[in-house]
Amino acid sequence: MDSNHEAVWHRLLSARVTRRGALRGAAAAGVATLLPLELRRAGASEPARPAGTAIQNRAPFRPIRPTTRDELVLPAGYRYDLLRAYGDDVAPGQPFGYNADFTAFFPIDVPDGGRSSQDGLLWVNHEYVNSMLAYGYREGRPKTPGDIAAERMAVGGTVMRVQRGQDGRWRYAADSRNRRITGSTPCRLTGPVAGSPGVGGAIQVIGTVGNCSGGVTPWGTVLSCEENVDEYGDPVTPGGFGLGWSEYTREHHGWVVEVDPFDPSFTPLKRTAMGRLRHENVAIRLAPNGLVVAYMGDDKRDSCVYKFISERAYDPGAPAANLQVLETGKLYAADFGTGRWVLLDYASEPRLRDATRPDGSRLFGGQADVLLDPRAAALLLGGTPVDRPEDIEIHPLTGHAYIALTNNNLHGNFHGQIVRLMEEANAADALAFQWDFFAVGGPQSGFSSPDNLLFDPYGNLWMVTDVTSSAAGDPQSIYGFQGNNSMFFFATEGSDAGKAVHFASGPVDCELTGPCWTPDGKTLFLSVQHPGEESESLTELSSHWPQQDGLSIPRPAVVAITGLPGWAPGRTFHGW
Amino acid sequence: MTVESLEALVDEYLRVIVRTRPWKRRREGESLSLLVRWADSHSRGLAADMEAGENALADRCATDLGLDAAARDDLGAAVRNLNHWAGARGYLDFDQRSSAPALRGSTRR
Repeated sequence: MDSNHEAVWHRLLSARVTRRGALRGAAAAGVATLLPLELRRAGASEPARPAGTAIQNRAPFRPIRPTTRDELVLPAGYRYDLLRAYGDDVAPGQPFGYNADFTAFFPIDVPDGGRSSQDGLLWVNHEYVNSMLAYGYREGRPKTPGDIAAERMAVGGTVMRVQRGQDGRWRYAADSRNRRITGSTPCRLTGPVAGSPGVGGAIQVIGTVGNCSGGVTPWGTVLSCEENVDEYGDPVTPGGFGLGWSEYTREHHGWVVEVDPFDPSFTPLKRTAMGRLRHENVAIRLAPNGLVVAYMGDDKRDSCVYKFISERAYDPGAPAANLQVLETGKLYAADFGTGRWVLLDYASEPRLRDATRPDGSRLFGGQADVLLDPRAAALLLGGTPVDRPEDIEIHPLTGHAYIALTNNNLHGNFHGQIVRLMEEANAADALAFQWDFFAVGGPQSGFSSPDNLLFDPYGNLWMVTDVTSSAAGDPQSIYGFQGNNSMFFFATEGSDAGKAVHFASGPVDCELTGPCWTPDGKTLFLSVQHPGEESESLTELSSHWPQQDGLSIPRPAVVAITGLPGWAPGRTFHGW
Repeated sequence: MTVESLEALVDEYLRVIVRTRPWKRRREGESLSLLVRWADSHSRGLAADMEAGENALADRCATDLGLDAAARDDLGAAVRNLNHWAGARGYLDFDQRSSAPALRGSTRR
């Protein structure tokens, strides 16, 4: 990669910030001519706004003030119920994992066509483990097999039943479908990389790790994204950065993992056709011809935005066949300089076939190698390295993709932006696009470092922030204006479009993650990840949240927030 | 190694530490921030200092900054850990004329 290439994004950034007002005006004019989004296959029910329906683009709460309290602070009239915290039982012998992240609510009656907002299965990701807070690991002593078993159990995902009682409170509920998927669960590689030399010929692999955010498919499965997967197999050394897991192969991780939450015997499927990245999340949109389009961010500074287009179409009448849709397809990277999607295809791209390492050896031996390292392929072919592309979500009314660029301190972008990407002719499978800025972080806008995004059915955007825990809540830092990591509301239409309204503030050192709705919009599930992460020892705890069951050690947890008014009668929204 | 790449290296290291050893992040972060700031003002001689080894680099930085014994120990430990990690990751094996290409590059090592 040449130095000019890496500077492209920043030149673009400067130009766009200067021209932001003009561009936003142009984009707004363009929106009126865009086709409505198709969340369903052509001919299916149209989710776009019914004629005459009033837009509800005002925040349904009175904003809170920035705070550094060690609590999940919500607006007046709102409350949260703690569903599970680290170590609580999910199923016999299967405790809730550490560092809860992405959540997805599946109405319990959805297999029968229902849309319950009182009862469902909740998927929760568990991204990584803090060994000291999780099980009292003290540096300097060797890890025991029991320590590593505890770590393996603490990552992956949870499926658990949750119910809202007559008293309006949400609670965990025992159910035969409750299960943990962990760092030891057998998984299967699918697609072009499965069985290839790059994964040692493996098809069956052990465990899933680094499960950050994710997505849901139109056919009702969850997609869990493996993000930071590098350190698990490294030895625990005196200076220490590895986790010391034996039987860990790095290339078996870093994939999008598909799971059917309703089937407790389902083997998680790692979708290699979607590439091996630091996957943040997956946002799915259907093309007019039914092909499945998945937008993905590579959560790393100076990394790219990707789009996968399936080879097969989604068929609402063929549930079994839909489980093969993500096995094959084409992978593209975004070139923001030209507004084009760049195909990462070994067979048709001589620059990939000819690419060599400094020692003269070939960088890629085939498409499997390209999928094992799409970042190198993307940068080689002109994909634009951007400032930590994290969550991507699709506006339910316009079809535009909103991309959280969290920050990039390497280039002086300390507060990040939310970029809006508009496909040509508003077709999800288009190969050209326009883009602009929706919101720019900083003291002037009240938020910093956007991360997970969530739309409501009116097209309002809800966003959580990811300021590093060493600076979040520090009044002396440049992030002091925001208080602790928080959640914000943005209208995307009207005079207040793009203005941040403060909804929630998390406990000390935490990051709020994984927001999702019930279909009626009256409950918001949310994870509280790594509270107290900056604690240097068990006697110097920076947080004690959630302070339940007599425990003062902070514990990551998932909560259900109520007090929301919900959607207008007749309107349901479940994000998939 | 350029100053920019040292900063990138430290930043990436702290992102890893927060996942595997979060209790070390604050202390090591403070020490390595001192190192980066010091390196920024000594960019001309940095390559030679680094070639002299991690201990010599930490010693010179600590001396120039007038660190007390405890801070000097913290800095030395942080630099050793950084070097160990960067070596294991292959991040030190790159074209020193460019700006941290290894950190922007391949997911495969």
